[in-house]
Amino acid sequence: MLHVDIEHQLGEFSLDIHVQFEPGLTALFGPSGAGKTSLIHAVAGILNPRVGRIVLGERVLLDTEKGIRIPTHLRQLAYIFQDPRLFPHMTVLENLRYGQRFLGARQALGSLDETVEILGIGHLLSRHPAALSGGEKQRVAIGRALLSSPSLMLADEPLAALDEPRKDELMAVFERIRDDLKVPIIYVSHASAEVSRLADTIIRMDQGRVIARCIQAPSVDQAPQSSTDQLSFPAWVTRRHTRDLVEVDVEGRLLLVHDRRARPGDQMMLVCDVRHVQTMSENDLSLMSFDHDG
Amino acid sequence: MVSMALGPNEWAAILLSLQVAVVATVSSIPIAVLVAYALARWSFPGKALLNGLVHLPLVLPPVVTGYLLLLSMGTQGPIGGLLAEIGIVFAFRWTGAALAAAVMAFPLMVRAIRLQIESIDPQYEQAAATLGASPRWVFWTVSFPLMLPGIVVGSILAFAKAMGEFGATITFVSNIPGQTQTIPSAIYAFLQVPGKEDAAMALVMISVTISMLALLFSELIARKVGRQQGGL
Repeated sequence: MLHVDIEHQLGEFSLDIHVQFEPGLTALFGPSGAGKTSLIHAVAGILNPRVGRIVLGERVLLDTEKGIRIPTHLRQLAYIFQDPRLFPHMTVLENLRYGQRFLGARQALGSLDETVEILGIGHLLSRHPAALSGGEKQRVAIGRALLSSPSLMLADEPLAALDEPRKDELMAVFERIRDDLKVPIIYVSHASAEVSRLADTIIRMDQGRVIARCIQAPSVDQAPQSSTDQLSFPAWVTRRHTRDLVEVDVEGRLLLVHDRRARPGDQMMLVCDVRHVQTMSENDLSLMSFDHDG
Repeated sequence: MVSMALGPNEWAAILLSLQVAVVATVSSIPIAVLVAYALARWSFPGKALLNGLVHLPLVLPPVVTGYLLLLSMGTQGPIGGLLAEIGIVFAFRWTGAALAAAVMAFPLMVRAIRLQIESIDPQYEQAAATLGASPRWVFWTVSFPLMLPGIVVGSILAFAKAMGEFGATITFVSNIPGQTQTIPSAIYAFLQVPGKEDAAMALVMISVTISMLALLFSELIARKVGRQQGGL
């Protein structure tokens, strides 16, 4: 769905990302300064990597070798910022309609009425953003982004500024976007509750690199669990990918895992904690506090 | 009582002042927006020089600005000579008064607009781009409307400054009744003649009234725009 191969230098910080995104919701997870926002800025065209190639579906968004760089406004992406960034001089309705005039021949993703209904913002349409609460603003921002008919939605900690009940309501909105509208979403978050509830795939980043990619099994219920936000899977190492990464087979899927010791053929227990994606070799299994007879 | 003290020359001075101030202000707006935008948002070689040039009339004695205008824009001057060949003459015409007023008011207008542009969060423009707006659309649908309060304030300041401009005007276009005599130069002329204090006083009151109306008007617009944008 989306291929990203980029290298970039920002002062002391270097970005070196080679990753593929699948449809569904992918959570970008990792400490501050891991390069999560830089990665989605590069996808959006806000950051221009020194070297790289970004392909969304069939469309090449960036290819520094061939000198291709599609500007932000032609990338057909939606970007949900932490701060909703509603245009203060327009009403809610005008904000929602902003992207529609740029659709051209593209088909709208949903009608204005449907979007307003999904987000529950019908009573706000004639107001100005200054008269909205934080949660209402973020709903309108999501609606505005959806009405621009994006082929990919980027969300940078969209719920971080909201209180718990508001977060819960908006997570339901993201679930509908993921499941009903089927818009692929790349979602940056620090919050394990959001990641475990929303993500199909978790990509863990650190120091400008992708260090692990974990697919949250659709059969989450069957996977052995030690706690609500920890999932574990038996996995077999198929081959060494780089010095830091091995390729492992988890229930027939291939994943890349950060590990320097494992050799092909080793069995591992892959523990997917939404705060830490880590690997454990067989020797470490005794350290784990739960039984697993897989 | 005021009208009795006003002869045809005084009325001419009032109308001319309004004409000069309106023309100076309106024709400055596009250039001031461009310069303010460039100073606030772009980095380019010679930016400090441009900034200095724009602000020069604010710090120079007005007489010096007027004299420099006369040297450069007069019919014998390098720019004025060229313009005169195609029929555009500034020196000793009302258009020259408008030019002098525009030059003197320009820094005030640019400053107000620039401050407003600097207060606009570029994140709004970024958001507009992610929604599909080209840079031109972003400018006209987001940046420009958010700049409007600054343009209004800058224009009112410039209008007031243009109404009151004296030193550069009288140096550049002299003080010819009915042609280049604005309210301030008329007041000055009356004060040179014994017994004309009444006429000068009448013009002073007119001047105060026009300035007050302009300020009230700007307050009204600023409040309207402010309410619409929710106290931006």
